[in-house]
Amino acid sequence: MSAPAPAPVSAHRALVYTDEAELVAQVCNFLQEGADNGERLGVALGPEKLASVRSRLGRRAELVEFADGGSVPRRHGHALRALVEYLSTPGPAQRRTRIVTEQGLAQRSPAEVRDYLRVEAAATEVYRTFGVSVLCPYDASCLPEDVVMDCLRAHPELLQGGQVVASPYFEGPLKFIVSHSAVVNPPVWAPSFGCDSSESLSVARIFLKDQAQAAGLGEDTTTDLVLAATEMLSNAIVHGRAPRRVWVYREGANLVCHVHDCGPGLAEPLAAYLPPAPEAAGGRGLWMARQMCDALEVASDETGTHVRFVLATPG
Amino acid sequence: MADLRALEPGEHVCCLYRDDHERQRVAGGFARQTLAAGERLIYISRDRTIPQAVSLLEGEGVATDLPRHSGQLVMVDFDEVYGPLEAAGPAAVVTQFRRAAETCRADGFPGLRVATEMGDVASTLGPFEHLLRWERTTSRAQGEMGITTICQYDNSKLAPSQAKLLAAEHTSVATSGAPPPLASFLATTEPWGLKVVGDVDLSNRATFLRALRARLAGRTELCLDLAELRFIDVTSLGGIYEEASKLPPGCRLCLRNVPELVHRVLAIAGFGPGHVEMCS
Repeated sequence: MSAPAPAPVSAHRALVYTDEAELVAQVCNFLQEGADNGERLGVALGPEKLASVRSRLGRRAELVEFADGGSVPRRHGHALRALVEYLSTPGPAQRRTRIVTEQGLAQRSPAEVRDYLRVEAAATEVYRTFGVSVLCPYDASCLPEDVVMDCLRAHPELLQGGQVVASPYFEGPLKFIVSHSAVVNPPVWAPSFGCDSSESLSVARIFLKDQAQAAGLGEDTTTDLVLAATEMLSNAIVHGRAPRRVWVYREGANLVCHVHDCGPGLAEPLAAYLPPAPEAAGGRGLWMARQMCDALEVASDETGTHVRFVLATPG
Repeated sequence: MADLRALEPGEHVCCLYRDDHERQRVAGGFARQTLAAGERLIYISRDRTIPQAVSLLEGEGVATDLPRHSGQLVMVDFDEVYGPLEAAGPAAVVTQFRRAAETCRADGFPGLRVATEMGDVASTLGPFEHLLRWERTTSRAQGEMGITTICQYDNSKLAPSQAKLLAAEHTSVATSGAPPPLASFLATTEPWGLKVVGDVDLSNRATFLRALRARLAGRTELCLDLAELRFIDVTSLGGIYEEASKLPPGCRLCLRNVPELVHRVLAIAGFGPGHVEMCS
């Protein structure tokens, strides 16, 4: 990630709406403001909302790069990476970027929604680096109240009645992530494997593959589980303390993988959310694991550090 | 007691085998661990023909064809290396070791191991003290040169006191083989490179990268054959890209027979391509 110079100006703004007409009007105003400043414009929304924005913009739509909901990656880590890649693509010199992005959350599991909000909080740091203005719409008509409240805590600014205001609930990325990460212990019946040395990693992979197959995961998703768990166990072996153990179990439609060690955990909690520098060969374990699963949570308690990630199972 | 999986460079291991089965397990285990380190093995046969020694290694699951072709596994006859024993003496052995250690690096191997069948050396050398002196001299020299060796003695031809004295001239004694290693790193010459057979993870990452660096040294092109790679973790894959990024301009590292798992990691890892290319 290379920061453009001089010090860029960024904005990370939430738009809580209840009807689509309101959303479309606000999005178009936001884009128009950017167009007036000669900014580069990008929009990622569900297909219907996208069509409405496009038609309202009329000829001005030519100035905007559109990504419909289908092309936005479902996994939050993957979506953030795609956005970082977009922001890293060199545009015309000195042009600022302005983005609207909404992830459909209504159909997601609670674990995925919670993770999305943590990613949102951390993204404020990413946007600051790139000097980009981002508008994040949240549909209050179908999202639970606590999710809307968390959206207000995760965003430094709100777009309210066409006015930009500082969010009175904003907590800052670090505080938000720490207060929104909790230890969820695996159930007592969950199969597990103790993995205290690097020599045990290959046996752990056999355990993980067996569990993935028993849960009916496809080949690619099994590979994701094995890769992500290997990264987390390797981290636990290098940075954590014995005993270290991995559990795999089903939770509703998800398969959960839980890695525990007795070490103090991450010195920098944001590291689980932010992309590493491209030239760094190490230190990308958590970032990579995040790309390979549907939600990832790191939390500590008096027993040590817990990394918990989930993968959606077929059917 | 020697753990064949964790030998230090320069270690001088004694194998006092009681039967062929034990000999095969120890010698075969030593050979497998050499290939798992990407190092060169010189196998010196004395009481077996070279084809017999090859089948001894193969009996323990060591693939010998590719390593022999690339020069990673060198099978030689004792007399051919040292000449008649009566005339040779330990000084000749030390000279040979030094020469072998020098060519080993130049041939792209990170280290050298030597397995020697001692056969009738004890009786040919005359008084037992001569053999002990021989072992003492070579032990010191190979220790200094960082060459890891194993001497295979037939226990039934030694008195118990002799076996003890002999063992004392070595740094350790091996009585059992080792479980199959996670991966072997096999040298290739056409094209020049390295073939990975098995898994690469935290347990053998450093060994793998050391073998890769030794193959890259002084070369402008290296082909990394991944056809038989079964697993590689993200950090190890990143290590390949990091090594490639240190190459001077005009040099390149080709990944060949890239498995789906690697494509999947590369699609999301965002390692700068640097000097890495994909080849079919």
